[in-house]
Amino acid sequence: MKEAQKEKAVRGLLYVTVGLSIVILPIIVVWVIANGVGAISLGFLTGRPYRFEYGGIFPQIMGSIYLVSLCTLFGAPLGIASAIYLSEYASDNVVTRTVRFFTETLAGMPSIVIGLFGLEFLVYYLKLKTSLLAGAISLSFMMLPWTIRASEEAINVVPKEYREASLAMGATKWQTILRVVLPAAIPGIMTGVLLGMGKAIGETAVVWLTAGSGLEAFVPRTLKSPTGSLPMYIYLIATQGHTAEGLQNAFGASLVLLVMFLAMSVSALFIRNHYLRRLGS
Amino acid sequence: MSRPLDIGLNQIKSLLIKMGRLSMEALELSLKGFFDGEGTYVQTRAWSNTILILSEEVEDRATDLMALHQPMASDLRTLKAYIKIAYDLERFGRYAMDISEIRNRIGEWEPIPDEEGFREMGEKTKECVTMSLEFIETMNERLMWDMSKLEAETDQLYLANLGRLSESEEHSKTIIAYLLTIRYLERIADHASYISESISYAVTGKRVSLR
Amino acid sequence: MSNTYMINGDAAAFSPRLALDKVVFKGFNLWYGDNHVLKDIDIAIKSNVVTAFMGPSGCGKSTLLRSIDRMNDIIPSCKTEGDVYIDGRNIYEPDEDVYELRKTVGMVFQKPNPFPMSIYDNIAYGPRLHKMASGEGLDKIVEESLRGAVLWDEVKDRLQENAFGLSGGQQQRVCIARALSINPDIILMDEPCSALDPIATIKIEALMRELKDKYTVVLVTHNLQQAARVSEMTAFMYIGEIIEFGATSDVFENPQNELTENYITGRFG
Repeated sequence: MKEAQKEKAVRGLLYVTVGLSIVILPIIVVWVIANGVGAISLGFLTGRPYRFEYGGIFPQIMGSIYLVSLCTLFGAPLGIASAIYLSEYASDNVVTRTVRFFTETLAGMPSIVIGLFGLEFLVYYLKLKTSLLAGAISLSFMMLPWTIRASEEAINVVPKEYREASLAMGATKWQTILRVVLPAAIPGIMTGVLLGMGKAIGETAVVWLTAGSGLEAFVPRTLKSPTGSLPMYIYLIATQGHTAEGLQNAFGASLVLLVMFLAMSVSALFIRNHYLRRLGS
Repeated sequence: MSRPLDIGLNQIKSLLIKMGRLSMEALELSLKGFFDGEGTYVQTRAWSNTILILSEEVEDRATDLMALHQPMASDLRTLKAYIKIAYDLERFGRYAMDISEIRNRIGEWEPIPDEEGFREMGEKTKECVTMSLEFIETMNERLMWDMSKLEAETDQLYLANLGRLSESEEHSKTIIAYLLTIRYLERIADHASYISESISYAVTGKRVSLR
Repeated sequence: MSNTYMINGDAAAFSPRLALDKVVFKGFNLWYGDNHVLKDIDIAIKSNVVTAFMGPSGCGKSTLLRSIDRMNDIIPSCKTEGDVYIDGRNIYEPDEDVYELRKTVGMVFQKPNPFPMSIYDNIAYGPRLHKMASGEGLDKIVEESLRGAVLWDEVKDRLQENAFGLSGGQQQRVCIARALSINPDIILMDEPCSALDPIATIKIEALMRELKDKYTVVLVTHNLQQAARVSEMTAFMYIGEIIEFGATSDVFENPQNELTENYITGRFG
């Protein structure tokens, strides 16, 4: 009887913890919506910020989109290529193990360190200035390990039977990768890339040091233009705003950021499920 | 570890041994009846019919084993041999029955003076049958040489007896009876040698012919 | 079961022994690392005959099969010694083009492995790869290959559907059609029915017998009855060696080697 009671107690405790972790996400979402929805208006979404906390956030929305797109443009091909090399060509030796260790470590690297590196190396040494380009490249450092890992996993789950069938038809290794392995792996790779983009879009420290001040009033016109972004905007307004309207704008920007992030996560989830269904049949 | 197939093969083998013993008894009885003038037909017919039923049983079991176990190599050859042997044994019984019937059909009986050569052939034929049963039981194909010797001896006796009967001018009805009997005995000896050939093929995979 | 047998277009009394040699192994050895997988293989596989390799797991039968289209090359630790001739050409010469070689040898695997594409694209994969045809020419190859695999009537109205929607037996026939699409001389089948139900198995077996009219078929199987039903020549392998090779009826009714006897009567080990 006593053991049964203990069992019950443990079960109850676990229910509580699970419940807590489940409610955190809705609480945050509801909190952000409740506080931010008042700020959302056509003017807010299409206008420019002025006098610090007033005005709209159009340049910040576009800045975030530009940064993430450009970062994906750099990070995704590099990550996918590395993943192809690691999973298809590299044999299991010291070099590949080292490469893997480096990418794993890069994934866990504090973003402020990456930001600092971007600042020193890209902004000052390569004289890219705090700009769209420097920000996107720095962000792609952050994204790279996620893309590599996800792509490698996606490539590894492509059954070896497909490869054998293709090779037995007289295809070369590269033809097999291009025509069979990648098409089969692409949903998994896209999921990984989208999750990486989700990480990049919410990143604050890196863009703070490399992309721009955050309150830029213009959509960047060149790669060298300083570029504002939503996380930076939120940070600045929330910490240094003086008015109730400013705080509401911070919540409004957070809501927009949240929607963009959720859109990526949901499409990643959708692609993943679709893909699993196809493999499962 | 014995395979399920072995159980079935052993069952068939014991059926064959049973058939063999019955046919040996039928042969002994019918010869005794022939030479001593006892009526043995009813008994030998009963035995012969039993053997027939058993041979059908062998056939059914063998078919089952083929369908269910798909035997191969020596198993397949053994099964094939068993089916053929069942037929040979069935012939033993039938010929024994035929021998026991002869005197009933002939009616009046005048034995010819010297029966020794016929009795001797009867004994030789029994030896052939005994040896063929030993083949079934032991599957010892090394007995092949002995078998061929026995079979040849039976054949010689057959020819000698045949010669003697063809020269005889008396007892015409009795002569027919002896003639038929030695003919049946010769057939039995032949089937005994077929049994040894079947066993030898089952064991070695090589066909030998004593004929 | 047809009793006549085609050699160079002439109907002759069936005898695999009379057929021409298609694939000849001469003193062939193969290692994976230090593991000596194939030992001094000397065997001549006849043209337009179904030849079966059988033997216990790990005897090297699949490896032997894969030596015919050099699929073992994929494994980095694989080393070979000795020669394999196809139509008199040594395919283990250093200047042999393995990609050309594999075009002349079709392969069907244990598990049906169609690509995650439409039925049409599966069959068109090889011809597109080797730029053999396009447009209507490609349609024709697809149709002929599917007919060759006796699948055309079942799938002709749904060529654009994903091949995964087919049953296991149909998927395996898609794979056979895919192997036929590049017009090979030799078809290698590595336990092609082990993942299929009995009815699908019978269909594939019937297909194998049909294929041998045009192709040389080499089959690896651990299903003895299948080897007995389908093949004309059977090789029994044990720990990397060919123990016995001969006409299937001889091997199954009257094997010459005790190991073969013990294996096929289930008295192994």
